[in-house]
Amino acid sequence: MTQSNRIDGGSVERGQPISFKFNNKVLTGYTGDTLASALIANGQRLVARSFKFHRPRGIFSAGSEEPSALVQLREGAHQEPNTRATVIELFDGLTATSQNHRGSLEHDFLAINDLFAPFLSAGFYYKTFMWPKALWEKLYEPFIRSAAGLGRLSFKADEDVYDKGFLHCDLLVIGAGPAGLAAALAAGGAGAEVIIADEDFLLGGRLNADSYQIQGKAASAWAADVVAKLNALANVRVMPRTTVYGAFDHGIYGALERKTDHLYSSDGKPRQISWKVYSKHAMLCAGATEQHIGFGNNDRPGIMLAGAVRAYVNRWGAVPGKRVALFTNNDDGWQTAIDLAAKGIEISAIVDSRDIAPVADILNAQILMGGYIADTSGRKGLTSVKLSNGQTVPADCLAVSGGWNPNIHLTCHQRGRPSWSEDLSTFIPGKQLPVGMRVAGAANGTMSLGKILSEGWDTASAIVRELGLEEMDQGAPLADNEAMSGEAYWYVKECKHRAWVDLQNDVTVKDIKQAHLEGFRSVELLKRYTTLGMATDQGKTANVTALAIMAECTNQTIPETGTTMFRPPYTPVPIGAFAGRARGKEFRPVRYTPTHKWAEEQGASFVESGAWMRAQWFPLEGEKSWRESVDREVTQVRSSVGICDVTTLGKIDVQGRNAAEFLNKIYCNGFAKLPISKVRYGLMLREDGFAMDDGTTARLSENHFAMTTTTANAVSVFRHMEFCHQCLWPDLDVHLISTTEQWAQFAVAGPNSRNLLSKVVDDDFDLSNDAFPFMACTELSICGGTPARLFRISFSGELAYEVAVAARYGDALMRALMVAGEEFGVVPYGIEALGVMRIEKGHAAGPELNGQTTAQDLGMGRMVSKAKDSIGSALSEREALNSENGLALMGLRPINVSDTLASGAHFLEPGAAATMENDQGWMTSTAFSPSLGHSIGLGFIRRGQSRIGEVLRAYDPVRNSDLKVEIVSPHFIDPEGERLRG
Amino acid sequence: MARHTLIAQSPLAEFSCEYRDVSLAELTKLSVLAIATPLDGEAALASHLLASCSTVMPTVGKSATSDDEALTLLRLQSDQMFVLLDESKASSTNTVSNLVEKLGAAGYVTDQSDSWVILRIDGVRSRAVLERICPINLNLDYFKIADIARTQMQHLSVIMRRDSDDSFVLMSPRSSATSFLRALTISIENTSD
Repeated sequence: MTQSNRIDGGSVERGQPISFKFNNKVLTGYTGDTLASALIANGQRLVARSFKFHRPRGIFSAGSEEPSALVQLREGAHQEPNTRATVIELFDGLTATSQNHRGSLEHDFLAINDLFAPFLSAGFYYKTFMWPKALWEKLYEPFIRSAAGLGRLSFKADEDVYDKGFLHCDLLVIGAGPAGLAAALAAGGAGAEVIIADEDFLLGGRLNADSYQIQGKAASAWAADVVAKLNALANVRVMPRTTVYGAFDHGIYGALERKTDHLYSSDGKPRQISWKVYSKHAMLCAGATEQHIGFGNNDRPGIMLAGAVRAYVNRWGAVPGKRVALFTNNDDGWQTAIDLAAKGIEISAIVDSRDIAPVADILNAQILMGGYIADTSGRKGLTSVKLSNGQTVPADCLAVSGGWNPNIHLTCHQRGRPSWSEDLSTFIPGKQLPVGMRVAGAANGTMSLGKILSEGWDTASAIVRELGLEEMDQGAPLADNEAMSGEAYWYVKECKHRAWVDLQNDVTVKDIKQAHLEGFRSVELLKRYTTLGMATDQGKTANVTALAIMAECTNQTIPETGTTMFRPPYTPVPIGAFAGRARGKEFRPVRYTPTHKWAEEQGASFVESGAWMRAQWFPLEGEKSWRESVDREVTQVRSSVGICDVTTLGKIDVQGRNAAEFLNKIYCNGFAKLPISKVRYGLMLREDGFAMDDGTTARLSENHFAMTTTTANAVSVFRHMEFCHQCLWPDLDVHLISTTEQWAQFAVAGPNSRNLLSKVVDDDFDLSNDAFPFMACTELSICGGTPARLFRISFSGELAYEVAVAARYGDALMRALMVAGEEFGVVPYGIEALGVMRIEKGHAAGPELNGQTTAQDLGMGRMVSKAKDSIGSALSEREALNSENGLALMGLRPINVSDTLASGAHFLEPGAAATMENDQGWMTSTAFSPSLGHSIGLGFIRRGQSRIGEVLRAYDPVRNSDLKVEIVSPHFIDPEGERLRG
Repeated sequence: MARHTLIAQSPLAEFSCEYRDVSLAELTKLSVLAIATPLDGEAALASHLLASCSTVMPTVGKSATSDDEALTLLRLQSDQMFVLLDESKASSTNTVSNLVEKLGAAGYVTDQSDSWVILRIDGVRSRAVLERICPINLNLDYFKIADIARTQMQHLSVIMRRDSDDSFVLMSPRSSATSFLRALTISIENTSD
């Protein structure tokens, strides 16, 4: 197809032809075209099918407000549905297909819906398909879901790359039309840090679409000059293809930059960038959107907004029709006829709803003042219009102008309400604007060019002064003020045919009146009942008309009727852009211990533990299951020695003259008198008396302590301690710093642990039980002078130590320990074996410290010192927390030793029904104990300490299990602690 | 003679790479000490620093470097600063242990040398790279040379210092060093033409 509707003029690059496909038809356009302008140039009028009635639809607008011309862009994984042809920048190789039809675009089987339109009125799905009830899920809903919706997903993972970023500026100018360019020039020229963003790829806004002049030159040329000047300023960032989609708190704006959407391939680079823009000031210069008028069959391909028709002709040299009619209620509509006539395009009729003298003489055009369009004809494209005087006038394009609505959306993003302007018959920005925002130009209701330029300039100059900069000497650019008067005319009341208000959602005047009759009169209800204003265009060309109709129905004014709340985003933003690069393994950071590489070499199986990757177990060749590996590791530790990387434990360095006093307040048990070179187990309570975290703390010197926390609570404990220090006891001389990252730490456990360590500690250190007993700590050197810390503590219940070195030596130390331990058959053990051994020993961990349990429940009630005040100690005294019927952490043993216990099971008396009233507690942790040869568990049981030997049911309906268990001591192994003190 | 000796490893195996208009390199010769100011001890600490390091204690958000460029003080908050000790420039008396000894009770010192991966990003594209992950305004009027900030990049905590117009030293936790490097290299890739 040749570009049959292309004429001279415009800003397209005629020396750069572009080949593209629409519905597999190869077409040509030019660099600088949009898909819409290229389709128009090629005479392609039918572009889409409507949402509900599958009516033929064409291109309606020339911007992001487009409700009709939605297409599927690109192919395969790159396919994107519901893209507006009016904002797609044409590129060589572009592929687009029409959407929302069964069969071809020309022959859509579902066009039959249009014949059933009387049954498909607003909210029809709420009233129909009610009987028979059984068919709803099986027939009606699947059918409706299949038929409904706009576009189709590819169902392939999005292969495009997205990114995010942060920008800062003194002034963010939103929109690069006349007001925005004047503002950026005024502020940028004065030295302010300016960002000017516009959704279009060609900056200038309406200046590129109109035939006005600024400073004596074509407005489009003036815009190009200004953009060149701005690009030359180091303090101005010019961002075409960038939509500022949301106004958020504190002067922060969301902006979507389309980096490579105008290219055939993004070549692995981000397709789009979601920017967070931090601004001191912002100017909304987003212009205005033209309003449609409701009249019979006003949705046919070829019926377009008048400003859009003018834009296609002036900017792109693309003629929407050979014979154009105009329907307007304002002077600006006439400008379309004037511009088109100047290009030699036939104007067949001009209909103005105002009963005034014609605004201009248009050669050969029939002019009807005080009239309206009664109906239109042309199934797949407009062929004629019927005027209110009964005449039928041939036309393949009808340009409609119902006036201009300021694009005030961003002024409302923080719940600001717009004001109604009687003069303009439209909403203008209200008094409550986002902090730092000002509005200028058409977005502010200033509609004529000269005033727009001066408003943009003056507003920016005021901001320049507020920034403490010197404003530019030159004044605002000069231009004439064109006539812009108009008179509200929302829809043709005499109309006997369906008149569309919202083209995207197939909402008609009748639908709105029906919503009123059925009581859906609130604007919010109207929107949801009729679907008015939903989907990609958010009713940009429909909302005000709908409000006017509802206002008429309710005998209210439009401002009394209200307006819907504008929320971000202003135009659609792909989910991928919100995600940015945070996909797959980039979703969050990963933390590795210093021995990770070594553990990989051993074939360790890893598990995510928070952000950490921790070795679960270290399988040996021939081992067929994880249990085999874990059992072996536990057995070897209990019989000889094993090493476990415990680097992930939280570590906090506590220093200061009042460090001991501080710890005494943080922990419920005493720390003030902890001797130097000793370690103590500590339990931390929350303010409400419930257990928060536990760990060990070593006193390295009088004013220096090294604390450990659980891995999971490392951050929350540090935060809690900082809060206590800064807010509760700021007068204490104490300082905290995390040393979790600083130290690589290893548990060396088992009867041969001392023997192993003696091979790595330097010669002068005595590891004997007398010299270095249980709960001792020291700073020493190992492996020939490497500084280290050694703690005699045990989580496994065995004779055990934890040795810490600077993280840089972690990998080397693990390798050295393994070599040193060869003669003892040393094994590395993972957190599964660690877990088994702590359950065997009856040590509490995460499942027991779950935020719902107290020191009393954990069997550590006596640790809560009565001799001092500490966080949580007072509230831990509450009666309900010390009830005789309270919980106690106990051990559980299956009566049938071949049974496998499971965490989460609840305890019931034998024969008791499984009800909340009969609940006796729950199983917190379970493991297979290779030491005992059967499954064991820990759990909280009411009055547990007095029920040892009692048999209960471990009832687990989730896993369909009901086992008999015996209550036993939680210390399955070495209850007297002889091993760890040995 | 010790039976086992331990060889130190840097978090990123001394990563260094040149890209078009930007370079990224791990700094491995820096020791990091955290110095906390004792309650009501700021003046004493300041005078100790001046006497022992010939360096004026900077204000919060600023850094100061000793004349021999061996020591750089980063004042992170009112009661905490980091000292970066450049081992390649330090004299024999300007070591970590000497520094700790010199400070005595004037400051509470915690070795943080192994807590951080330290990278320098340098080159005219460095700001464009950081713009993708760093919420700090890197305009020279706002974040000047020798300014420091605690911030976050891709969920990771970062301490950054501006070395020059286009050079920044970035410190992020050691355990997530590979994620931090990845964040930077992706930004480099995403900002290349």
